[in-house]
Amino acid sequence: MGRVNDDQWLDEALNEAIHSDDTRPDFETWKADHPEAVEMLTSRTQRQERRPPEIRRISMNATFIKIAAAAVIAVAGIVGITRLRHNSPDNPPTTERIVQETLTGPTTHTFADGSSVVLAEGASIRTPATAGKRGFEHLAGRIEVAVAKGKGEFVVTSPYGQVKALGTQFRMDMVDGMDSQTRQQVQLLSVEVLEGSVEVRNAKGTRTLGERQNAVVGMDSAPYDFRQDETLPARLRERIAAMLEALEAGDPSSWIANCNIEYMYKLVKGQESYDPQRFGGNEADLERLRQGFGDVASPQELAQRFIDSAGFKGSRKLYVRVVELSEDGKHAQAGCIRYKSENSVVITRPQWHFFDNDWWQVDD
Amino acid sequence: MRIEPLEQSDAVLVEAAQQGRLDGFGALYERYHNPIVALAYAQLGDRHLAEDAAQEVFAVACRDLRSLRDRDKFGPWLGGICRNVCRQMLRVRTRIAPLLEEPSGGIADERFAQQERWNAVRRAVWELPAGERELIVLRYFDGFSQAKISQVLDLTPAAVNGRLTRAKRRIVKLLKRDGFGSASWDA
Repeated sequence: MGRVNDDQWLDEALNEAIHSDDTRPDFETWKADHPEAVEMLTSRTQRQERRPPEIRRISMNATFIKIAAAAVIAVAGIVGITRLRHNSPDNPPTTERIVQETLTGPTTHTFADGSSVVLAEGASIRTPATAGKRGFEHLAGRIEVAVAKGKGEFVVTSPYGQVKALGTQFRMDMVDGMDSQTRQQVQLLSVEVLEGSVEVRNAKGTRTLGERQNAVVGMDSAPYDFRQDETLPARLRERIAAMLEALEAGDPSSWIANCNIEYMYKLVKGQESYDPQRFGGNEADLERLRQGFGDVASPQELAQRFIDSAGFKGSRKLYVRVVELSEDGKHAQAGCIRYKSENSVVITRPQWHFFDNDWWQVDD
Repeated sequence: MRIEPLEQSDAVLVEAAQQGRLDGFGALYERYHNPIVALAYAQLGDRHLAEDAAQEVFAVACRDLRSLRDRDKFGPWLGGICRNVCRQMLRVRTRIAPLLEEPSGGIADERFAQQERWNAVRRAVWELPAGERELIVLRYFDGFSQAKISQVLDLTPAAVNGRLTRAKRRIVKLLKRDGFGSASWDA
Protein backbone atom coordinates (compact mmCIF):
# COMPACT_ATOMS: atom_id res chain seq x y z
CA MET A 1 0.00 0.00 0.00
CA GLY A 2 1.15 3.55 -0.61
CA ARG A 3 1.78 6.30 1.84
CA VAL A 4 -1.86 7.26 1.83
CA ASN A 5 -2.40 4.41 4.26
CA ASP A 6 0.37 5.52 6.54
CA ASP A 7 -1.13 6.81 9.79
CA GLN A 8 1.80 9.06 10.52
CA TRP A 9 1.46 10.70 7.14
CA LEU A 10 -2.27 11.12 7.66
CA ASP A 11 -1.63 12.76 11.04
CA GLU A 12 0.75 15.20 9.39
CA ALA A 13 -1.63 15.91 6.50
CA LEU A 14 -4.58 16.52 8.84
CA ASN A 15 -2.42 18.81 10.94
CA GLU A 16 -1.37 20.82 7.94
CA ALA A 17 -4.96 21.07 6.72
CA ILE A 18 -6.71 21.80 10.01
CA HIS A 19 -4.25 22.82 12.71
CA SER A 20 -4.54 26.34 14.09
CA ASP A 21 -1.79 28.06 16.05
CA ASP A 22 -3.42 31.44 16.37
CA THR A 23 -6.45 30.64 18.52
CA ARG A 24 -5.92 32.04 22.00
CA PRO A 25 -8.49 32.58 24.74
CA ASP A 26 -8.71 36.19 25.96
CA PHE A 27 -11.18 36.34 28.81
CA GLU A 28 -10.58 40.04 29.55
CA THR A 29 -11.61 41.02 26.02
CA TRP A 30 -14.59 38.68 26.12
CA LYS A 31 -15.69 40.22 29.43
CA ALA A 32 -15.47 43.73 28.02
CA ASP A 33 -17.52 42.67 24.98
CA HIS A 34 -20.27 40.96 26.99
CA PRO A 35 -21.13 43.16 30.00
CA GLU A 36 -24.76 42.01 30.10
CA ALA A 37 -23.87 38.33 30.35
CA VAL A 38 -21.29 39.08 33.05
CA GLU A 39 -23.85 41.14 34.93
CA MET A 40 -26.33 38.25 34.87
CA LEU A 41 -23.76 35.87 36.29
CA THR A 42 -22.36 38.10 38.99
CA SER A 43 -25.56 39.78 40.14
CA ARG A 44 -27.14 37.74 42.92
CA THR A 45 -30.40 39.65 42.52
CA GLN A 46 -30.85 37.91 39.22
CA ARG A 47 -30.86 34.52 40.86
CA GLN A 48 -34.18 32.81 40.48
CA GLU A 49 -35.32 30.34 43.00
CA ARG A 50 -36.42 27.16 41.33
CA ARG A 51 -40.07 26.48 41.77
CA PRO A 52 -41.14 23.00 42.67
CA PRO A 53 -42.58 21.29 39.63
CA GLU A 54 -46.26 21.85 39.28
CA ILE A 55 -48.28 18.82 40.39
CA ARG A 56 -51.13 18.05 38.17
CA ARG A 57 -54.05 16.17 39.47
CA ILE A 58 -54.95 13.27 37.29
CA SER A 59 -58.62 12.59 37.35
CA MET A 60 -59.66 9.05 36.68
CA ASN A 61 -63.15 9.48 35.46
CA ALA A 62 -63.05 6.98 32.65
CA THR A 63 -63.62 3.36 33.67
CA PHE A 64 -60.96 1.99 31.32
CA ILE A 65 -58.34 4.21 32.97
CA LYS A 66 -59.28 2.80 36.37
CA ILE A 67 -59.03 -0.78 35.03
CA ALA A 68 -55.67 -0.05 33.43
CA ALA A 69 -54.37 1.49 36.65
CA ALA A 70 -55.51 -1.54 38.65
CA ALA A 71 -53.73 -3.86 36.20
CA VAL A 72 -50.51 -1.88 36.48
CA ILE A 73 -50.66 -1.99 40.28
CA ALA A 74 -51.27 -5.75 40.23
CA VAL A 75 -48.33 -6.41 37.89
CA ALA A 76 -46.08 -4.16 39.97
CA GLY A 77 -47.14 -6.04 43.09
CA ILE A 78 -46.31 -9.46 41.57
CA VAL A 79 -42.93 -8.21 40.33
CA GLY A 80 -42.16 -6.70 43.73
CA ILE A 81 -43.00 -9.92 45.63
CA THR A 82 -40.90 -11.97 43.17
CA ARG A 83 -37.91 -9.66 43.70
CA LEU A 84 -38.30 -9.80 47.48
CA ARG A 85 -38.26 -13.62 47.33
CA HIS A 86 -35.14 -13.57 45.15
CA ASN A 87 -33.35 -11.15 47.46
CA SER A 88 -34.18 -12.96 50.68
CA PRO A 89 -31.21 -14.53 52.56
CA ASP A 90 -32.37 -18.01 51.46
CA ASN A 91 -32.32 -17.05 47.81
CA PRO A 92 -29.28 -14.83 47.20
CA PRO A 93 -29.26 -13.02 43.86
CA THR A 94 -27.44 -14.97 41.18
CA THR A 95 -26.21 -11.87 39.38
CA GLU A 96 -25.01 -8.71 41.07
CA ARG A 97 -26.05 -5.47 39.44
CA ILE A 98 -23.08 -3.22 38.61
CA VAL A 99 -23.53 0.45 39.36
CA GLN A 100 -20.67 2.19 37.61
CA GLU A 101 -19.46 5.68 38.31
CA THR A 102 -17.04 7.79 36.27
CA LEU A 103 -14.71 10.05 38.23
CA THR A 104 -12.60 12.85 36.78
CA GLY A 105 -9.60 14.58 38.30
CA PRO A 106 -8.37 16.33 40.20
CA THR A 107 -9.86 14.30 43.00
CA THR A 108 -9.10 11.49 45.43
CA HIS A 109 -11.35 8.45 45.69
CA THR A 110 -11.27 5.99 48.57
CA PHE A 111 -12.73 2.51 48.00
CA ALA A 112 -14.70 0.53 50.57
CA ASP A 113 -11.67 -1.71 51.27
CA GLY A 114 -9.48 1.30 52.14
CA SER A 115 -7.62 1.42 48.81
CA SER A 116 -7.41 4.85 47.24
CA VAL A 117 -6.68 6.51 43.93
CA VAL A 118 -5.52 10.08 43.33
CA LEU A 119 -6.54 11.51 39.95
CA ALA A 120 -4.55 14.39 38.47
CA GLU A 121 -6.24 17.03 36.33
CA GLY A 122 -7.50 15.43 33.12
CA ALA A 123 -7.46 11.90 34.54
CA SER A 124 -10.59 9.77 34.67
CA ILE A 125 -11.55 6.33 35.93
CA ARG A 126 -14.69 4.22 36.05
CA THR A 127 -15.51 2.19 39.16
CA PRO A 128 -15.94 -0.66 39.65
CA ALA A 129 -14.59 -2.46 36.58
CA THR A 130 -16.18 -5.78 37.54
CA ALA A 131 -18.88 -6.57 40.08
CA GLY A 132 -17.57 -8.18 43.26
CA LYS A 133 -13.90 -7.58 42.40
CA ARG A 134 -11.52 -4.97 43.70
CA GLY A 135 -10.33 -2.47 41.13
CA PHE A 136 -11.50 -0.02 38.49
CA GLU A 137 -11.10 0.97 34.85
CA HIS A 138 -8.47 3.57 33.96
CA LEU A 139 -9.85 5.80 31.21
CA ALA A 140 -7.37 8.66 30.87
CA GLY A 141 -4.56 10.68 32.43
CA ARG A 142 -2.25 10.30 35.40
CA ILE A 143 -3.32 8.45 38.53
CA GLU A 144 -1.64 7.13 41.66
CA VAL A 145 -3.08 4.05 43.35
CA ALA A 146 -2.54 2.79 46.92
CA VAL A 147 -3.92 -0.71 47.38
CA ALA A 148 -5.03 -1.85 50.84
CA LYS A 149 -3.06 -4.95 51.82
CA GLY A 150 -4.31 -8.42 52.67
CA LYS A 151 -7.63 -8.23 50.82
CA GLY A 152 -6.94 -10.12 47.62
CA GLU A 153 -5.99 -8.99 44.17
CA PHE A 154 -6.77 -5.51 42.90
CA VAL A 155 -7.06 -5.11 39.14
CA VAL A 156 -6.93 -1.90 37.11
CA THR A 157 -8.05 -2.40 33.51
CA SER A 158 -7.21 -0.08 30.62
CA PRO A 159 -7.28 -0.08 26.81
CA TYR A 160 -3.60 -1.10 26.95
CA GLY A 161 -4.04 -4.11 29.23
CA GLN A 162 -4.51 -4.77 32.91
CA VAL A 163 -2.44 -4.10 36.02
CA LYS A 164 -2.83 -6.55 38.88
CA ALA A 165 -1.56 -5.63 42.34
CA LEU A 166 -1.30 -7.15 45.80
CA GLY A 167 -0.90 -4.60 48.60
CA THR A 168 1.09 -2.02 46.74
CA GLN A 169 1.35 1.53 45.54
CA PHE A 170 1.82 2.44 41.92
CA ARG A 171 1.35 5.19 39.35
CA MET A 172 -0.29 4.93 35.96
CA ASP A 173 0.00 7.58 33.26
CA MET A 174 -2.03 7.27 30.08
CA VAL A 175 -0.17 9.50 27.64
CA ASP A 176 -2.27 10.71 24.74
CA GLY A 177 -0.87 13.58 22.73
CA MET A 178 1.15 14.64 19.74
CA ASP A 179 4.85 15.08 19.36
CA SER A 180 5.19 18.87 19.35
CA GLN A 181 7.86 18.69 16.65
CA THR A 182 6.67 16.03 14.22
CA ARG A 183 2.95 16.10 15.12
CA GLN A 184 3.09 12.32 15.31
CA GLN A 185 0.40 10.81 17.53
CA VAL A 186 1.73 9.47 20.83
CA GLN A 187 -0.26 6.99 22.90
CA LEU A 188 1.05 4.78 25.68
CA LEU A 189 0.45 3.68 29.23
CA SER A 190 3.21 3.93 31.82
CA VAL A 191 3.06 1.88 35.02
CA GLU A 192 5.52 2.73 37.79
CA VAL A 193 5.70 0.81 41.07
CA LEU A 194 6.41 2.79 44.22
CA GLU A 195 5.99 -0.04 46.72
CA GLY A 196 5.38 -3.80 46.43
CA SER A 197 4.94 -5.33 42.99
CA VAL A 198 2.44 -5.43 40.14
CA GLU A 199 1.83 -7.59 37.11
CA VAL A 200 1.19 -5.76 33.84
CA ARG A 201 -0.54 -7.92 31.25
CA ASN A 202 -1.98 -7.48 27.78
CA ALA A 203 -2.51 -9.68 24.72
CA LYS A 204 1.13 -9.32 23.70
CA GLY A 205 2.79 -10.28 26.96
CA THR A 206 3.14 -10.04 30.72
CA ARG A 207 5.70 -8.21 32.85
CA THR A 208 6.07 -8.25 36.62
CA LEU A 209 7.43 -5.06 38.10
CA GLY A 210 9.11 -4.60 41.45
CA GLU A 211 9.71 -1.49 43.49
CA ARG A 212 10.93 1.55 41.48
CA GLN A 213 10.44 -0.34 38.22
CA ASN A 214 8.48 1.07 35.33
CA ALA A 215 6.92 -0.49 32.24
CA VAL A 216 5.65 1.22 29.13
CA VAL A 217 2.75 -0.38 27.27
CA GLY A 218 1.67 0.42 23.73
CA MET A 219 -1.72 -0.47 22.29
CA ASP A 220 -0.16 -3.24 20.17
CA SER A 221 3.00 -4.08 22.09
CA ALA A 222 3.97 -6.06 25.14
CA PRO A 223 4.78 -4.18 28.37
CA TYR A 224 8.39 -3.00 28.03
CA ASP A 225 10.86 -2.31 30.82
CA PHE A 226 14.41 -1.68 29.61
CA ARG A 227 15.70 -2.59 33.08
CA GLN A 228 14.49 -6.12 32.48
CA ASP A 229 15.57 -6.32 28.83
CA GLU A 230 18.18 -9.09 28.97
CA THR A 231 19.26 -8.43 25.37
CA LEU A 232 20.86 -5.17 26.51
CA PRO A 233 24.24 -5.06 28.30
CA ALA A 234 23.84 -4.41 32.04
CA ARG A 235 26.05 -1.32 31.90
CA LEU A 236 23.96 0.15 29.09
CA ARG A 237 20.83 -0.33 31.19
CA GLU A 238 22.56 1.49 34.04
CA ARG A 239 23.39 4.37 31.72
CA ILE A 240 19.79 4.62 30.46
CA ALA A 241 18.48 4.56 34.03
CA ALA A 242 20.98 7.27 35.00
CA MET A 243 19.82 9.43 32.08
CA LEU A 244 16.20 8.99 33.16
CA GLU A 245 16.93 9.93 36.75
CA ALA A 246 18.95 12.98 35.73
CA LEU A 247 16.30 14.28 33.33
CA GLU A 248 13.42 13.58 35.69
CA ALA A 249 15.28 15.32 38.51
CA GLY A 250 16.29 18.21 36.23
CA ASP A 251 19.92 17.61 37.23
CA PRO A 252 22.37 18.53 34.40
CA SER A 253 25.45 17.47 36.44
CA SER A 254 24.20 13.89 36.67
CA TRP A 255 23.28 13.94 33.01
CA ILE A 256 26.73 15.12 31.90
CA ALA A 257 28.27 12.28 33.94
CA ASN A 258 26.88 9.87 31.32
CA CYS A 259 28.96 11.49 28.57
CA ASN A 260 32.64 10.83 27.87
CA ILE A 261 33.94 14.28 28.71
CA GLU A 262 37.59 13.33 28.14
CA TYR A 263 36.71 12.32 24.59
CA MET A 264 34.52 15.40 24.07
CA TYR A 265 37.39 17.62 25.23
CA LYS A 266 39.76 16.07 22.70
CA LEU A 267 37.09 16.41 20.02
CA VAL A 268 36.55 20.08 20.81
CA LYS A 269 40.28 20.70 20.79
CA GLY A 270 40.68 18.97 17.42
CA GLN A 271 42.73 16.14 18.95
CA GLU A 272 40.11 13.59 17.83
CA SER A 273 38.58 13.42 14.39
CA TYR A 274 34.84 13.31 13.69
CA ASP A 275 33.23 9.92 14.27
CA PRO A 276 29.41 9.79 13.97
CA GLN A 277 29.23 6.77 16.28
CA ARG A 278 31.00 8.56 19.13
CA PHE A 279 29.54 12.02 18.50
CA GLY A 280 25.80 11.99 17.91
CA GLY A 281 25.60 15.11 15.75
CA ASN A 282 26.80 15.79 12.22
CA GLU A 283 29.98 17.58 11.22
CA ALA A 284 28.25 20.97 11.20
CA ASP A 285 27.17 20.33 14.82
CA LEU A 286 30.77 19.53 15.69
CA GLU A 287 31.94 22.75 14.08
CA ARG A 288 29.43 24.74 16.13
CA LEU A 289 30.58 22.90 19.25
CA ARG A 290 34.20 23.79 18.53
CA GLN A 291 33.30 27.43 17.96
CA GLY A 292 31.29 27.61 21.19
CA PHE A 293 33.55 25.62 23.51
CA GLY A 294 36.96 25.54 21.83
CA ASP A 295 38.42 27.96 24.38
CA VAL A 296 38.03 25.63 27.42
CA ALA A 297 41.22 24.76 29.27
CA SER A 298 40.29 21.36 30.71
CA PRO A 299 37.69 18.56 30.53
CA GLN A 300 36.33 19.79 33.88
CA GLU A 301 35.79 23.28 32.49
CA LEU A 302 34.10 21.81 29.43
CA ALA A 303 31.76 19.78 31.67
CA GLN A 304 30.91 22.92 33.67
CA ARG A 305 30.23 24.89 30.48
CA PHE A 306 27.96 22.11 29.24
CA ILE A 307 26.11 22.17 32.58
CA ASP A 308 25.76 25.95 32.47
CA SER A 309 24.34 25.84 28.96
CA ALA A 310 22.24 22.69 29.34
CA GLY A 311 19.00 24.68 29.70
CA PHE A 312 17.28 22.10 31.90
CA LYS A 313 13.91 23.52 32.85
CA GLY A 314 12.64 21.65 35.86
CA SER A 315 11.90 17.95 36.11
CA ARG A 316 9.83 16.16 33.49
CA LYS A 317 8.74 12.57 33.14
CA LEU A 318 10.42 10.48 30.48
CA TYR A 319 9.26 7.07 29.25
CA VAL A 320 11.46 4.61 27.36
CA ARG A 321 9.31 2.74 24.83
CA VAL A 322 12.05 0.71 23.16
CA VAL A 323 15.84 0.30 23.06
CA GLU A 324 17.43 -1.05 19.88
CA LEU A 325 20.93 -2.48 19.84
CA SER A 326 23.09 -2.51 16.67
CA GLU A 327 24.15 -5.85 15.20
CA ASP A 328 27.70 -5.47 16.46
CA GLY A 329 26.31 -4.75 19.95
CA LYS A 330 28.25 -1.48 20.28
CA HIS A 331 25.61 1.13 19.53
CA ALA A 332 22.16 1.62 21.03
CA GLN A 333 19.27 3.96 20.36
CA ALA A 334 16.17 4.40 22.51
CA GLY A 335 12.72 5.64 21.56
CA CYS A 336 11.47 7.89 24.37
CA ILE A 337 8.52 10.10 25.15
CA ARG A 338 9.30 13.15 27.24
CA TYR A 339 6.91 15.70 28.67
CA LYS A 340 7.85 19.20 27.53
CA SER A 341 5.11 20.62 29.71
CA GLU A 342 2.06 19.20 31.46
CA ASN A 343 0.20 19.03 28.15
CA SER A 344 2.92 18.65 25.58
CA VAL A 345 5.11 15.68 24.73
CA VAL A 346 8.11 15.23 22.47
CA ILE A 347 9.63 12.09 20.97
CA THR A 348 13.37 11.80 21.64
CA ARG A 349 15.90 9.21 20.42
CA PRO A 350 18.97 9.28 22.67
CA GLN A 351 21.94 7.15 21.62
CA TRP A 352 24.78 5.38 23.40
CA HIS A 353 28.06 3.95 22.07
CA PHE A 354 30.57 1.56 23.60
CA PHE A 355 34.11 2.93 23.47
CA ASP A 356 36.97 3.61 25.90
CA ASN A 357 35.77 0.49 27.77
CA ASP A 358 32.38 1.86 28.73
CA TRP A 359 28.94 2.80 27.40
CA TRP A 360 28.64 6.56 26.86
CA GLN A 361 25.67 8.65 25.91
CA VAL A 362 26.47 10.26 22.57
CA ASP A 363 23.17 11.95 21.67
CA ASP A 364 20.13 13.17 23.57
CA MET B 1 1.14 9.57 48.20
CA ARG B 2 0.24 12.88 46.59
CA ILE B 3 -0.35 14.22 43.14
CA GLU B 4 -0.74 17.94 43.63
CA PRO B 5 -3.93 19.16 41.98
CA LEU B 6 -2.92 21.46 39.15
CA GLU B 7 -6.34 22.82 38.35
CA GLN B 8 -9.79 22.59 39.84
CA SER B 9 -12.36 20.26 38.34
CA ASP B 10 -15.12 21.57 36.08
CA ALA B 11 -17.71 20.90 38.79
CA VAL B 12 -15.87 23.07 41.33
CA LEU B 13 -15.47 25.91 38.84
CA VAL B 14 -19.09 25.68 37.72
CA GLU B 15 -20.28 25.81 41.32
CA ALA B 16 -18.11 28.87 41.98
CA ALA B 17 -19.43 30.57 38.84
CA GLN B 18 -23.03 29.68 39.75
CA GLN B 19 -22.43 31.50 43.03
CA GLY B 20 -21.50 34.60 41.05
CA ARG B 21 -17.73 34.21 40.99
CA LEU B 22 -16.47 35.50 37.67
CA ASP B 23 -12.99 33.99 38.18
CA GLY B 24 -14.62 30.55 38.13
CA PHE B 25 -16.24 31.29 34.80
CA GLY B 26 -12.97 32.78 33.56
CA ALA B 27 -11.15 29.52 34.31
CA LEU B 28 -13.81 27.58 32.41
CA TYR B 29 -13.48 30.03 29.52
CA GLU B 30 -9.71 29.50 29.39
CA ARG B 31 -10.16 25.72 29.56
CA TYR B 32 -12.83 25.37 26.90
CA HIS B 33 -12.28 28.27 24.54
CA ASN B 34 -10.11 26.45 22.02
CA PRO B 35 -12.14 23.20 21.97
CA ILE B 36 -15.29 25.26 21.39
CA VAL B 37 -13.66 27.21 18.56
CA ALA B 38 -12.66 23.86 17.05
CA LEU B 39 -16.16 22.45 17.47
CA ALA B 40 -17.63 25.56 15.83
CA TYR B 41 -15.09 25.29 13.03
CA ALA B 42 -16.28 21.73 12.44
CA GLN B 43 -19.83 23.06 11.99
CA LEU B 44 -19.10 26.25 10.07
CA GLY B 45 -15.93 25.55 8.10
CA ASP B 46 -14.63 29.06 8.65
CA ARG B 47 -12.10 29.92 11.34
CA HIS B 48 -13.19 33.55 11.75
CA LEU B 49 -16.86 32.62 12.01
CA ALA B 50 -15.89 29.90 14.47
CA GLU B 51 -14.16 32.49 16.70
CA ASP B 52 -17.30 34.64 16.60
CA ALA B 53 -19.48 31.64 17.40
CA ALA B 54 -17.31 30.76 20.40
CA GLN B 55 -17.75 34.26 21.80
CA GLU B 56 -21.52 33.88 21.54
CA VAL B 57 -21.42 30.37 23.04
CA PHE B 58 -19.75 31.69 26.19
CA ALA B 59 -22.19 34.58 26.36
CA VAL B 60 -25.11 32.13 26.30
CA ALA B 61 -23.35 29.87 28.81
CA CYS B 62 -22.69 32.81 31.13
CA ARG B 63 -26.34 33.83 31.06
CA ASP B 64 -27.71 30.31 31.50
CA LEU B 65 -25.10 28.73 33.75
CA ARG B 66 -27.39 28.64 36.76
CA SER B 67 -29.68 26.27 34.89
CA LEU B 68 -26.91 23.64 34.67
CA ARG B 69 -27.62 21.01 37.32
CA ASP B 70 -25.06 18.29 36.50
CA ARG B 71 -21.92 20.33 37.00
CA ASP B 72 -19.66 17.51 35.79
CA LYS B 73 -21.32 17.81 32.39
CA PHE B 74 -20.25 21.38 31.70
CA GLY B 75 -18.22 20.33 28.63
CA PRO B 76 -21.04 18.47 26.83
CA TRP B 77 -23.51 21.20 27.87
CA LEU B 78 -21.26 23.85 26.32
CA GLY B 79 -20.88 21.66 23.23
CA GLY B 80 -24.66 21.56 22.89
CA ILE B 81 -24.86 25.35 23.10
CA CYS B 82 -22.15 25.56 20.46
CA ARG B 83 -24.09 23.39 18.02
CA ASN B 84 -27.24 25.51 18.56
CA VAL B 85 -25.36 28.77 18.05
CA CYS B 86 -23.78 27.41 14.87
CA ARG B 87 -27.14 26.22 13.55
CA GLN B 88 -28.51 29.71 14.05
CA MET B 89 -25.53 31.21 12.24
CA LEU B 90 -25.97 28.79 9.35
CA ARG B 91 -29.65 29.68 9.06
CA VAL B 92 -28.79 33.24 8.14
CA ARG B 93 -26.27 32.24 5.54
CA THR B 94 -25.97 29.26 3.31
CA ARG B 95 -23.66 26.57 4.49
CA ILE B 96 -20.13 27.66 3.95
CA ALA B 97 -17.76 25.18 2.38
CA PRO B 98 -14.48 24.85 4.21
CA LEU B 99 -12.17 27.66 3.32
CA LEU B 100 -9.91 26.35 0.67
CA GLU B 101 -6.92 28.58 0.42
CA GLU B 102 -6.72 29.36 -3.26
CA PRO B 103 -3.12 29.65 -4.35
CA SER B 104 -2.31 33.05 -5.81
CA GLY B 105 -0.97 33.46 -9.33
CA GLY B 106 2.69 32.77 -9.95
CA ILE B 107 2.93 30.28 -7.11
CA ALA B 108 5.54 27.59 -7.57
CA ASP B 109 4.30 24.28 -8.93
CA GLU B 110 5.48 22.37 -5.90
CA ARG B 111 3.68 24.74 -3.51
CA PHE B 112 0.58 24.58 -5.68
CA ALA B 113 0.59 20.79 -5.58
CA GLN B 114 0.98 20.88 -1.79
CA GLN B 115 -1.99 23.25 -1.47
CA GLU B 116 -4.03 20.95 -3.67
CA ARG B 117 -3.28 18.03 -1.40
CA TRP B 118 -4.22 19.95 1.75
CA ASN B 119 -7.41 21.16 0.09
CA ALA B 120 -8.21 17.55 -0.77
CA VAL B 121 -7.75 16.62 2.87
CA ARG B 122 -10.04 19.46 3.99
CA ARG B 123 -12.69 18.45 1.47
CA ALA B 124 -12.51 14.86 2.70
CA VAL B 125 -12.90 15.99 6.32
CA TRP B 126 -15.96 18.05 5.47
CA GLU B 127 -17.52 15.10 3.67
CA LEU B 128 -17.45 13.05 6.85
CA PRO B 129 -20.63 12.55 8.88
CA ALA B 130 -21.03 15.41 11.40
CA GLY B 131 -19.99 13.33 14.43
CA GLU B 132 -16.78 12.10 12.80
CA ARG B 133 -15.98 15.55 11.43
CA GLU B 134 -16.26 17.02 14.93
CA LEU B 135 -13.87 14.41 16.28
CA ILE B 136 -11.28 14.92 13.55
CA VAL B 137 -11.37 18.71 13.80
CA LEU B 138 -11.17 18.63 17.61
CA ARG B 139 -8.22 16.25 17.41
CA TYR B 140 -6.20 18.17 14.84
CA PHE B 141 -7.25 21.79 15.35
CA ASP B 142 -5.15 22.16 18.48
CA GLY B 143 -3.99 18.62 19.26
CA PHE B 144 -6.58 18.01 21.95
CA SER B 145 -6.17 14.74 23.82
CA GLN B 146 -8.80 12.04 23.61
CA ALA B 147 -9.64 12.78 27.26
CA LYS B 148 -10.29 16.44 26.42
CA ILE B 149 -12.38 15.51 23.40
CA SER B 150 -14.38 13.06 25.49
CA GLN B 151 -15.14 15.89 27.95
CA VAL B 152 -16.69 18.03 25.21
CA LEU B 153 -18.48 15.31 23.27
CA ASP B 154 -19.59 13.24 26.27
CA LEU B 155 -17.97 10.07 24.95
CA THR B 156 -15.59 7.68 26.69
CA PRO B 157 -11.93 8.00 25.62
CA ALA B 158 -12.18 4.48 24.20
CA ALA B 159 -15.16 5.50 22.07
CA VAL B 160 -13.27 8.59 20.90
CA ASN B 161 -10.34 6.39 19.93
CA GLY B 162 -12.53 3.95 17.98
CA ARG B 163 -14.44 6.65 16.15
CA LEU B 164 -11.24 8.55 15.28
CA THR B 165 -9.82 5.40 13.74
CA ARG B 166 -12.98 4.88 11.67
CA ALA B 167 -13.02 8.53 10.59
CA LYS B 168 -9.40 8.36 9.46
CA ARG B 169 -10.12 5.21 7.44
CA ARG B 170 -13.00 7.02 5.76
CA ILE B 171 -10.76 9.99 4.94
CA VAL B 172 -8.24 7.68 3.27
CA LYS B 173 -11.04 6.20 1.14
CA LEU B 174 -12.29 9.66 0.13
CA LEU B 175 -8.78 10.76 -0.80
CA LYS B 176 -8.30 7.70 -2.97
CA ARG B 177 -11.67 8.31 -4.62
CA ASP B 178 -10.57 11.85 -5.52
CA GLY B 179 -7.42 10.61 -7.17
CA PHE B 180 -5.04 11.42 -4.36
CA GLY B 181 -3.48 7.98 -4.29
CA SER B 182 -0.10 7.07 -2.97
CA ALA B 183 1.74 8.56 -5.97
CA SER B 184 0.28 12.01 -5.21
CA TRP B 185 1.56 11.98 -1.65
CA ASP B 186 5.02 10.87 -2.59
CA ALA B 187 5.32 13.73 -5.06
